[in-house]
Formats: sequence, structure tokens, C-alpha cells
Amino acid sequence: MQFDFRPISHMDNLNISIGERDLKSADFDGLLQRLHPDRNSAAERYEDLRRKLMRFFRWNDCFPGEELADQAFDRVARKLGSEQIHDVPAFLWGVARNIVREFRKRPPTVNFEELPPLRQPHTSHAELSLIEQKVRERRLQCLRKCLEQLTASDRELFLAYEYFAGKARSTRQLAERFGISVGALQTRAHRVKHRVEKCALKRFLSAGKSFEEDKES
Amino acid sequence: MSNEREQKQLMTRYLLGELSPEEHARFEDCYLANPDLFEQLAAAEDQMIRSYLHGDCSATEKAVMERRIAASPDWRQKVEFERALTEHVSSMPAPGVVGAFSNARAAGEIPRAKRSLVPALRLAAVAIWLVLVVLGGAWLITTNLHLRQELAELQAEKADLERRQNELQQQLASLSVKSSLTMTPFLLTPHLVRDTNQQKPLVIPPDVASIPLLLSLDQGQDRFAG
Repeated sequence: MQFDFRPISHMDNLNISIGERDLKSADFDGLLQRLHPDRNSAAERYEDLRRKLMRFFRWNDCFPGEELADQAFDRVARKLGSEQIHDVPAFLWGVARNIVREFRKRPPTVNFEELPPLRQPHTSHAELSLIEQKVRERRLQCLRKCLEQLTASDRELFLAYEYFAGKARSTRQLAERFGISVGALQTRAHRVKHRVEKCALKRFLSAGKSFEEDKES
Repeated sequence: MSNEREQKQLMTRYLLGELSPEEHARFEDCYLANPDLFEQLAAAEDQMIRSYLHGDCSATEKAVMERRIAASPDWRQKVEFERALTEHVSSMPAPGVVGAFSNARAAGEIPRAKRSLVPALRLAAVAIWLVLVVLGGAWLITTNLHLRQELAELQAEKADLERRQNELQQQLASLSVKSSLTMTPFLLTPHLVRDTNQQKPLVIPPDVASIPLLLSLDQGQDRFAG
């Protein structure tokens, strides 16, 4: 199975929105090499660390998690060229914690509710519920398309895991059924979930973009 | 078992941001060093979001979730994804895991798809209760209005009876005044011609002692009859 391991921000002409300077392709390759000598295994590790970093930033109320995760990788990739780093994942988590500290020092953002009434976006309740319903329908369609793209085994495992989500006994039975440990089942299910979530969001946003383009034309 | 429970409590407190900075850092050290613990924490987070979506969470959890959803687009995306996933999973048939579904039922566990029915049943119970309250309220209001109307009619009837009673008392009083007279006036009014051929009887009550005869005469009139 081939992985598209490079994050979106790296694929867009190597421009990184938050990083202090653009990341060189060689630095990124060096990072992958340090994660694993085999490129596919390296990509798998990279994706797994990225998924965890995004959760970590969300748990620490730091966002956008995706950009912050890229920022963490960029910093580590740059350091690899100049410093001796023995444990790359451990170093990465140290960098991630520094990013959390930096994020907390930033001035707070303003919520809609805190804006003066004239600057608040206004939509009536009737319009809002109609819009919400349409948006949810579109999200569900995107999710279903992404589920269709999974391999049969991934889809079966993921949907069975989600069906009995949160119930320890059923999770244990599922793990037995698939012949793996509960931890391995959770890891696999969460990896698939991350892929589906990313795919569904990408589809949803591109569907919104094409909708806006249709409206403009 | 108690360790497991303590760990769950710790995870919940971490996700809710209730740990002190030292506890927070210590717990992060633990889960960053233990991939299985990280996945358990991820599962706990997903479970917390599902509880929020089903309305099964505590007031504190609800408040924290709402603050996060309002503050962060990442949280909004995550919650919306979980909502769509829950909807999809709820609509699908039970997965083909041998015995898992029946064992879960035997153990009293409600699978996620069925769990979504629990709020629906609660909602139905609340709806039935509301309908009963509305119907009972409507019945009480109607009865009250009906009784008020009857009361108003009775009050009007009572007032009418009192008025009639007063009139009758006045009549009775006037009759008794009349009957107490011992003198009956006999008035001869001018311009009235009394028929000579036909005599009209004047009935004098037995208790009349005297009958004064009053004769009103117009000025300049020289002829009259008596």
C-alpha cells in the first residue's frame, strides 16, 4: 500500500504558513529517514505521529492542530541537520510541548459572542436550522464516500469498532475476533478514523468551494 | 479494577482541563511514553464527544465542550465528524461479529447504534408527558370557564330575584299605606261631564269615616254640575 505521506502544507510549493522559514525538501527527507530507513514505514510513522500531535494540540486547546503539527515537524527537521538527536519522537514531543507553551502566551482570540452586536454575524433561527441541516447532510455524504474508499478489512474493523465504541467487553470481543490485542485494535481503528476524518474534511471543504464557485458563476 | 477506574477518572479530568499544571505534565509524560494509554485517551475523548452529542454528559462536561466548540474550529470539526459518524453507524445493521452483538445484549450493554434509541425513547416519554399536561391543563381551563359562566348566571338570577323582591315589598308598602286611610277623597275634575242617565256606583270601604267632596272650579266658569 502506497502512502501519500507528505502533509498538504508541504505539497503546496513547500510553503509553511506558521514556520519561520520554508522547510527544505532535503530536511524533510532527512526527518523521514530518521523515522525509518524504509520510506513506506517512515511514512506510516510520520502519519501516526502527526495524528497524535493533532490530538495532543486539541487536548491542550491549541489550534489549528494541523498547522501546529507541521510546525513541530519542521522544527525537528531543521534541528536534525545541526544537532545530534538520538530519539526523534521524544524530541518531537518536547518541541510540541514548547509550541503549546508559546501558544498559551499568545493574546486570546475574540469569540463571536464577545463582539459588539453590530459586528456579530446575523442569521435568523429558521435560516440557521436549514443551513445546519444541509451542512450535516453534506458532511454525511462526504463521510460515506470516504468510507467507500477504505479497504474492505479496514472498513469492517473500523465500523465494527465504532458500532460498539466505548464498551470494554465488546472491544475485547472484537479484538479476539480480529486476532489482535485491544491496544492494537484501538490503534488500528484510530488510524483509520484519522484517515477517514481527514478525507471527509477535505471533501467537505472542496464541496463547499465548488458550491461557492457555482454561486459566483 | 480500582486502578482502571482511577485511570479513567484521570483521563476525564485531563480532557476537561481539571488537572493542576504538575498533574497535567505528569500525565502527558505517561501517555507519551505509553502508546496504549494514548489510544485509550483518544477513545475516551471520542466517547466524551459522543456523550455530549447524545446529551448524556454531565453539566461540567457540557460546559467545557461548548466553550471548546465556540473557541476552536478544530473542536467544531471534530464534533461535526463524530456527529456524522454516529448518524452513519446508527443507520447501519449490526456488524457481522459472531456473538459480539448477542453477548453485548446478554451483558446488558447497549451497542452504540441502539444507544442512539435511548434518547429517542426518553424524548418520546417527555413528549407523552407534555401532551398529558397540555390536555389536563386544557380540561381544567374549560371546566373553570364553564363554572365561572354558571356562577355569573346564578348571580344575575339572584340580582333579578332581589329586584323583584324589592318591587313587591314596595307594592306591599303602598298597599298598606292605602289601606290605612280612613278618608277617601272623591275628586271631581273640570271638563268632565258626568252621565246623568247612568249612575256609577261609588264603593265606600267599611273603615271610611268621612268622604270629603273636592270640587275644582276653573275661573270664569259659570256652569257646573255636582
